Amino acid sequence: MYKELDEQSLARYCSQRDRKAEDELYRRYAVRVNALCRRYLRDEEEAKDLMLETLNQALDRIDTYKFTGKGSLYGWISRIAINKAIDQIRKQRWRTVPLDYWARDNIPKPTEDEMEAIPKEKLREWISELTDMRRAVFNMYCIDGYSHQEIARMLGITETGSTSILAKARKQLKDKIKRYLKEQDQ
Amino acid sequence: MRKWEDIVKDKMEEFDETLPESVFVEFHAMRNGAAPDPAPKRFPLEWALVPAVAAGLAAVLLLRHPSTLDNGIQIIHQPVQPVAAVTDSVEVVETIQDQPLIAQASTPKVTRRPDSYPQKTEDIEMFEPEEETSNAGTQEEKKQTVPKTVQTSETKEEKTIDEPVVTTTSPFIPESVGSKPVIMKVAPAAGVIAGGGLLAAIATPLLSSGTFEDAAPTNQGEPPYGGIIMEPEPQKDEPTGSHTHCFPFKGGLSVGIPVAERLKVTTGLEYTLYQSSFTYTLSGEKKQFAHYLGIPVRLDWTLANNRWLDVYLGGGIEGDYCIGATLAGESIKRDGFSFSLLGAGGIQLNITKNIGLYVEPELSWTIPSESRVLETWRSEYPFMFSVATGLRINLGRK
Repeated sequence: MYKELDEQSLARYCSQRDRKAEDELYRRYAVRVNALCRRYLRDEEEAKDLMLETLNQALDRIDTYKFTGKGSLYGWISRIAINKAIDQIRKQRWRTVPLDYWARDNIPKPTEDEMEAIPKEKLREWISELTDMRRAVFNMYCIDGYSHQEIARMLGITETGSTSILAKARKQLKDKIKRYLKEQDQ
Repeated sequence: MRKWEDIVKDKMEEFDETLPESVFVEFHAMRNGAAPDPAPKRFPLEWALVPAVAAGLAAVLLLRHPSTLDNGIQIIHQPVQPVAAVTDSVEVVETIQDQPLIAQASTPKVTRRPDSYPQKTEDIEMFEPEEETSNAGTQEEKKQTVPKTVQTSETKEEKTIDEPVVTTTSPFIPESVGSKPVIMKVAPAAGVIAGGGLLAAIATPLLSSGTFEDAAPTNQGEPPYGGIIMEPEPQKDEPTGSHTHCFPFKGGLSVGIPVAERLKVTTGLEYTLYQSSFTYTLSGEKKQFAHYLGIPVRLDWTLANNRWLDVYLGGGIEGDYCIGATLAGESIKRDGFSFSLLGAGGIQLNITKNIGLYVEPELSWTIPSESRVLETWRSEYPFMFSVATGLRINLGRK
């Protein structure tokens, strides 16, 4: 029965503290939220903890959720996850100054074919190797669709700082991609 | 054609890793009210040790650090030349018999020091030939000559007609003529209260040093010494040149104004205390306190930071002015404006979002200026190292 519930109904049942509805919410979104958390946090265990905290908080505050269309429940939960991840990064991580601060980005962009040849596991590995701030800004801007203004506000940095960090993250990822492709050619 | 970032996005959203059943059990337990495992502390206490160690270092450096070597026990020899000259004359007057008048002669009135030793020596030497050559001379001759040398009053001359100059002569040279004969310098017993971790650096007082001196020999209780009293030279209380400068204490209130992601302009008010000790010929050790207020302007580059700590390097300039200077409690002439170039590294503990406690070891070079008149640690070491502590208000921090 619960498997067939739409987002709005599932949220309503969850707001009534229906344990089975809560389990269904977990089954639907836990994997995606966990993947999202893995993108933001390098450590797998921390990502899992963050996913659990996110779902728990979402269920506690499910009354505040407003259905706005298909996919809005996941969007709402993912925003909670991102906010928590950013909060964690801001509070607990050292932001180190990259030594290549003024280095120019002269690495060519990978082509579509080149990108298709790269396994997603490798991409996630390279993203997780970015510094906390670079990883957060790249995820927020390129994957989760936040603007630089929002990123700056959420991370406590300036908009120019956000663009600068994004440029460095892109450069680092392109460098990884090019190196990987070069190795594959050999 | 799709952007490479869009392909990354699609690939990232394709992840559908299954989660182990234990995660679901954990989720269930969480929903059933079981207390979740306490989140590991992201800010381990070890990090708090960083500013604490820095504060401790500051405290150690704030301890009295003599700029001159402590030579321990110093024995300064008595000047002996005048005594030798006097000894000769003593032999001459030994024949005088009226001993009770000795006490009278040793009163302060007659032991007043002439202007200088050489003069006295000359007087005595002038007197000697007369003694030697007129061995069989009359008492009257003595009466005429003796008063010349000892410069006593007419009335005393009459009283001492039969009584020789023994009463007015002693080779003893009071200890105040030169440096103290024996001085034992003891390393300063300074202590710094480092209560409350970082607050120690701020609260660290400079404790004054102690100098123990052996009882200086005086003429009291000394057996009367034959010869003519060398009246003490009038002494000026002048510095002997021996001095000690303490490590300066710096504390202040600072404001950090961000100008870029990692750059901030730091300014504020900084108080500096320079403490020094000078040894004087008569009054011994005098302490000098010089208080300065400075306005540093620095550009700081944040090396790393998190919610609690900032680590940064910076450079700039500081203008300061002496707001007060005392020597042994009395005001003395103060320094005017002067400027220094600064280079500093620092650790800031962010107590709240906008208020932080900083410890900054800094190197500074004081630009030579004629307005500097005080002798302090800084005049001794224009290129100096110091540790500044204080509170900083961070503007624009989110």
